[in-house]
Parts: sequence; structure tokens; C-alpha cells
Amino acid sequence: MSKIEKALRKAQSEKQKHSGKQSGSEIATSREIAVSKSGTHNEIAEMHDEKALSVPQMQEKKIIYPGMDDEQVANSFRDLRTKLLQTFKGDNFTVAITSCVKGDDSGFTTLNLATAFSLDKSKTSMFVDCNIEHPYVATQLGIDYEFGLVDYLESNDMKVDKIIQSSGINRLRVIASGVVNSDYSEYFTSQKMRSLLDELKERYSDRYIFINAPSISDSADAKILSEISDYTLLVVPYAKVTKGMIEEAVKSIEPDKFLGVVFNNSPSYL
Amino acid sequence: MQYSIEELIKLVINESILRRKLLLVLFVVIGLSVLAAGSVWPKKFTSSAVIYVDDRNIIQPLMQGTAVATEQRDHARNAREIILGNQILKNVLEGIGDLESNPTPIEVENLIDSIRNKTVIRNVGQNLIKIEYQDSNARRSFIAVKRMAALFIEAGKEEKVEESRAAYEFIEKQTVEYLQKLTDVDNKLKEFHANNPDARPGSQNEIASRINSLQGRIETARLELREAEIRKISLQDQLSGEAAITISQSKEGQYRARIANLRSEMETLLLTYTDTYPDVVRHRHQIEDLEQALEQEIIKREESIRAAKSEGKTYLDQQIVMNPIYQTLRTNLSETETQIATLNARVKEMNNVLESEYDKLKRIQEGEALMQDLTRDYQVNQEIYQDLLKRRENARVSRSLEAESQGLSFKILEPATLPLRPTGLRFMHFAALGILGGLVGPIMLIYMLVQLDPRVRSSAAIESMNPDYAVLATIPQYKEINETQHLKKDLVLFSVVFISMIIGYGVVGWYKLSGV
Repeated sequence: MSKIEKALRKAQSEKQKHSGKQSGSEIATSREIAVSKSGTHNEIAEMHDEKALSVPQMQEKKIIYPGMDDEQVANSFRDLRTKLLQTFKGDNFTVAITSCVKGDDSGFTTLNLATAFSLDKSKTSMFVDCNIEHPYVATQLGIDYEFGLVDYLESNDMKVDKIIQSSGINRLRVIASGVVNSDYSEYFTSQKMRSLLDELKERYSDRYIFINAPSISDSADAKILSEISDYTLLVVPYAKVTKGMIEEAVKSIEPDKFLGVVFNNSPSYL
Repeated sequence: MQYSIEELIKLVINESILRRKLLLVLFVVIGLSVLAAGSVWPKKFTSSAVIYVDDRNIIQPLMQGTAVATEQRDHARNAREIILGNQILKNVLEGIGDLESNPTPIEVENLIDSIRNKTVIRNVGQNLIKIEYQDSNARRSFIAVKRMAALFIEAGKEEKVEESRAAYEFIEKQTVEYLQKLTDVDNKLKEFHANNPDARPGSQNEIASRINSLQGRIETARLELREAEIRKISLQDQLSGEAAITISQSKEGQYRARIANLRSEMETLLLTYTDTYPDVVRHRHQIEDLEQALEQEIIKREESIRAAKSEGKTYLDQQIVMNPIYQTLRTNLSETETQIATLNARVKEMNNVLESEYDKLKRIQEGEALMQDLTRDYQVNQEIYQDLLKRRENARVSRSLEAESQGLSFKILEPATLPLRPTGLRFMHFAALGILGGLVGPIMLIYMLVQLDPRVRSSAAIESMNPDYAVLATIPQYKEINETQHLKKDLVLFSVVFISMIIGYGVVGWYKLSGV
């Protein structure tokens, strides 16, 4: 039995547990219930963004889009998506994506992987930016938001709706990191964070959650996020890390949660 | 990092394109610096001459068989010592016209040093040396080599004359030395003969034969002596035997004979007559008388023997002495005794002579070893001396030959020529180096970077670390907007720079060729 299969079984049993709890939960809002598990493919397909990004904007923001000039990038994300879907056999999941070293590599990978999922009209995806020190998504996409993840975790009565932003990409929603507080690291260990992730995942069976975690070398958050999400992907940027650093990074991820490595930014002139 | 060849090629190409701006800058820098170096690089003209050197040393044929020749000389080193000396180089300076501006002695010294540095003299085969000189001016280079060769040969000739003179002197010296040695040994031999008159050749044999004959004679004498002694003993025995025989012929015997006779007559009478018969009585009385007389006779003889013994004389009965056989035996005995004495004396004398002959032989043998040494020395020295005398005459002839330059041993095989083409690095080489180096050098740098940089550049490298490290995806670089156009522009820029560089080299090369 492969490692991935083992992880898969574990994920499925956990999911069943959670769905049991979920039935009694009061967190779901009225609007979300309207499009909850009963939501059809048609409804999801119609989830068009009002301010969709144009092709040059996509290009500029380094986001993949169908029919792009350099299809290699889009295809590699599509392949990754297929691999993940094959691994999970159609169930939705939460994946934390972290990098070996500081940089935009995990943000870039998270955003484009989320985008790759959203390219499929039957799926939606959610980008949760947990890299509080170096937020990626809001700056990259130029989202002007009021409340972010931190605000939600800090407040007692904030609704989830408040922090979910549209991204300008169809079927992709975004939760920005929010305002930085001094001891923010406590947030991710909280029950509220767990509940949030569960809620986000459980509300739509075809919503896939992608967490942009800070780099492993940078912050302890990566480890915490890896623990509360279903799986973890490690991004290794081209020509930036040594084998030793990769080993260190893999060691700090719980073996059951470690899915694999994404080798990013490899030059492809040939 | 270890990559497969395919990966490595891919990585080098990708990295090269990624760092194309840097490569372009390096290409320009290398190209221009080599172009600059090539345009100021001085032209070099090399002229050379090959000289044949006869390495047969003059002393070698002269001393052949007698002395072992010293090891072969390094002609090039020899030539270097001669040619690169100040005297010849000054002459060369004069030839190429460097002394026309009347330089100071220090400047002259520097000029000589510079010529020395530009001259190469080496062996190009057995007995062949090559002189090479490099200069920025073809004519100067030609003249310099021509002069060096000519001056070297002249110097060589002088050296040869000097050499043959030295050879003659050496042989002359040796001759005198050996003559002296010969005289010394001769004197020693004379002295030895004076001190040892016996030490003539063959004297040893003579003495040996003499000893032999002496030993033979001693042996004979001893045999004779032994014989005489045996004879003496036997004569003495015979003499005493003769004495016993003669006793029976004495008075005693006569008495005994008469008694026996009378008894027989009496016994005959008794056959017929009784004891009282007068004849028988008379016979008895006669016998009694005779027995009495015999007794007296025996007593008398014993007394005289006793008397003779007490006087230390042999008792001889008068009748025995009168015996002729006894007389003869006595004469023989005394003769034998004389002979024994004579022989004894002879043996003793001959032993003395033998002893002295032995002494003489020993002395001669001791002297013989010394004499042989001296004789051998004399013979060897005499041979060498005679040989040297012959060689001295040869050397005398050689010396005269060299003095008249008949025994020439240097030849210019390949005279110096005026070089038409410059040697060494030419502008063509610089052009090739600049353009190829500019292309290959930076790519080699990239190659080294990829090889030496420990940072991971391929997904295969990650997977090879641990089978659990599954690489789920390799995401290519997200190309910038207009990346393709940028690439195209860069390609054009590179082509322009490349062509300009070639044109640059062409122009400088043409200028250099046309001599501006």
C-alpha cells in the first residue's frame, strides 16, 4: 500500500467524522446554504466573476489561462491537478502549499493550482493566504479588501462571507491574509481556524481549498498549517536550494501529510 | 551536482539562454580584449641555421686503445657557452646595427641580454646544433643568426687548434713521465742483481739438480755403510767360530785322542787277557797319566784365559794365531772397519753440503719474486713508453695539420635565410581565439556553474535523493509578457554584435596585413 493510498484512507475516515459534526453546526450562513451541497454543476458554472481579468492582466499577474501562448506552464498545472484528483478519487480536500525558502514560489504555485482547478467548470477552488508576513494573493491580484483571515480569527462574530473575496478568475475565491498582528502565529493553532477550514471544505463538495503557507525555513506556521490541512505540497524552486535544504524541509513535514514535491520555475527554453 | 549528460546539456543551454545578457557582455569583453592584444602583438621573425659538429675529439683517435675517452659532449651547451658569450654577442649587435647610436655600457649590457634571451641553441640530432633567433625585424634576425654561425665556427676552429696543441702537450708530458718510470725500474733491477749474484735466470734449476745428485750420493753412501757394518759383524762371528775349531787342534785334543786310542787298545787286550795282564796294566797307567796331563792342560788353559781376560786381551792360543784363515779374516775385518769410518765421514760431509744448498735455494726463491715484479714493471713501462713515442709523433702531425686548418670539423649544413613569414602567434590566431574563446569561454563558465553549484537544478536530482520524494510536477518558468519578442530581439542584438566583432577583426587584420 503506497503512502498516498494510506493518506487517502485516513482522509476519507476523517471526512466522515467531520460531516457528522457538521450537521449540527450553526456556522453556515443562509446565502451559502442556498448553494450548498445540493448545488448543481450549472450553478457552479455560472459562478462568473463580475470583474474577470483580461488576458494581458493574467499574463502580467502570472496566472495560467486557457489558450495561453506558453502552454507548458498551464499543462503542468493541469497535470498536477489530475494527479491530485486521481489520488483523492473525486473527494475535495485541503492542501497546504509551502516552499523550501522564502519567495513567491509557494504563492505562485498555490494560485495557479487553484486556478487550474477552477478551469474545470465542475469545480471551484479557494485560495487561503496564510502567509501573513508576505501575503501573496491580495498584492498579486490587486484585491482591495476590508477583512482578511486574521480579522476573522480575531473577531468573535464575524461571518465567513466577509472575508471571502472574488479573485477576478471564474470559480476561484480568495481569502486574503489580513492585517498583521504581533502574535499572529497563535491563530492557526486555534479551533476556529480548524473549524473555518472544515466549513470551507464541507460546504461544497466540489470546492478545493489551497492554503498558501509561509516557507518552512521561514516560519513555524508552515508546520502548523500542514497539520491542520489534509495534505502538504513542498515547492522546490529551481537553482535556489541544496539537497540538504530539501531534506530538512521534508523532515519537518509530518510524513503522513507529505504528498510530494513541486519543482518550480524550471527554465524551459529547450 | 551529478547530472546525466542529457540533463547537463539541457541545463547548460537553458542557463545560457537565461543568462544571455551576461554571455553577450562576456563575448564582447573577451572579443575586444583579444582583438586589442592581437593588434599590438609584435610580429616575430625567426631565422635559424644548422651546424654540423664533428665530435671526434682530437685526443680520442690519438689515445685510442690506451686511454678511455671522456663522455660525449653536449654540443648545444658547448655552442651556447661560446655563442652567448659577450664577445660574439657584441659582434652580433654591431652586425644588426644596434651599436650605431653609441649606447652606454649598461645599455649595451641590456641589449646583449635581450639577444641572449631571444636566441635558442639546441641539439637537433647527433652532431647537429640549431641556432635560432627571434626578432620583430626579419632582416635583423637573419643577420644575427648568420653572424652567430660564422663566429661560432671561427671560435670552434681556434678551439680545435688549441685542442690539438693541448693533446700534443699532454702526450709529451706522459712520455716524459713514463721515461722517468722506466729509468727508475731499470735502476732498481740493477741494484737487485748486484745484491743477489746467485739470482741468475736458471740458477734455481741448477741448485735443484745439485741437491738431487747429492741426495742420491748420500743414499748410496748410506747403503755402502750399512753393507760394511753387516760385513763387520759377520767377520767378527767368523773369527770367533774359527777359534772354536782350532781348540781341537791344541794339546788338549792330542791328549784326548791318545786316551781314546789307548782305551780301545786296552779293551781289545781285555778280550784276551785279564786285568792283571801286564799290557793291560801298562795301558791303564798310561791312560791315567794322560788323563792327568789333560787335566793339567785344561787348568793351564783356563788360567791363561782368566789371565788374558784380566788384562783385557783375547786369549789366543798359539796354534790359533798361527792359523792362516784366521789371519785372513782378521785382515778383512780391519779393512771393513776402516771402510765404515770413511763412509761415515763422507755421509756427514755430504749432509753439510746439502744443507747449504737448501739455504741457497731458499734465498734465490725469495729474491725471484722481487725480481719478477721489477721485470714486469720494466716490461709494461717499456711498452707504454714505446707506444707513447709513436703517438707523440702522430700528435705532432695533428698539431701541424690543425695549425694549417686542415682538420676542419664544423660545417654549416643549413645557412641562415631571411625569414619571409612571421612565426609565433599571428593575427589569424588571435581572431580565432577571440571569436571562439568569446563563444566557448562563457559557455564553459556556465557549464562549471551547473557542475559545481550544489543547488538543485533538476527534478531527477530530487527524486534520486529519496524514493519518497515524489516530484508531482515540474512547473516551467512562467514567461514574462513578450518573452518571445525579447528573445528574438536579443538574438538580433547578438547577431549584430557577433558580425560587428568579425568585421572588427577583419578590419584590424587588413590593416595589419597592409602594414599600416
